[in-house]
Amino acid sequence: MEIVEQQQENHYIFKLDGRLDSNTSPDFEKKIFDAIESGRFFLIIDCGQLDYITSAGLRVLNKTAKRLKREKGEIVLCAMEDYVREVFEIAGFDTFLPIVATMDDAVARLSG
Amino acid sequence: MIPGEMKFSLKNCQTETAKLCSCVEDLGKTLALTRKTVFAISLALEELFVNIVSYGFKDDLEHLIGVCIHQENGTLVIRIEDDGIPFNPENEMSPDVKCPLEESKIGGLGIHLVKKMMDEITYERRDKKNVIIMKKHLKGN
Repeated sequence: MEIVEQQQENHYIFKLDGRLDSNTSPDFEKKIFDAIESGRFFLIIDCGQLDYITSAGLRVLNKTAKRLKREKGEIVLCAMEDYVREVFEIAGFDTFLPIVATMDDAVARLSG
Repeated sequence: MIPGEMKFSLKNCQTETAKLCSCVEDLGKTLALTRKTVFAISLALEELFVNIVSYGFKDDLEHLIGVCIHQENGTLVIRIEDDGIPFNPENEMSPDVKCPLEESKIGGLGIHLVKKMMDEITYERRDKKNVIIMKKHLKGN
């Protein structure tokens, strides 16, 4: 999986391209927690090119959401394929992870 | 072998998930399955496979996990078997998916996804092997 990181105004974007599974999740976890350690508490996860996710990927996002709550930060996910979104819903993760349609919506949510 | 049947085996090594997914992708092309169905099958098999590799073996030896998929009257029948310690996914409690963030538990999540992605799942312990058979109806997918 390819992960592109980008600082944009007050938020930090992770663009995921490929598969977030048990093999790639440790790398994603390290990158996301490195960002939090360096004070980036407002994160956008661009899932436009994310074509696969397993429980290993969900675990990283759960851990991230818990940590960001302590830091009074926020995480928003955007541009998800329907079948990927369904996994978040089945897992009940859509109750604490905001999932919005587009990058603009994500930016608006963090700025609002 | 049943016509259209696909069979492959995977070593008890986490990186074998790449082979698992490419085999399911191939099956998807052969049977002209939708992306959504291919995703559901990959996810269910991968969650079970990762579980087997992580918890199934108490030795350091190489083991083979067998996968066999065939189509039967508009239903995909997916079978996965391993010679690890007994594990019956039917006995796994589903996590409480409606609880707030602080209380959310992530154990059991993989098996919960498997159960939701598939239409049917059965388990038997046969000849010292775990045999899990899952069914996925193709109609409407």
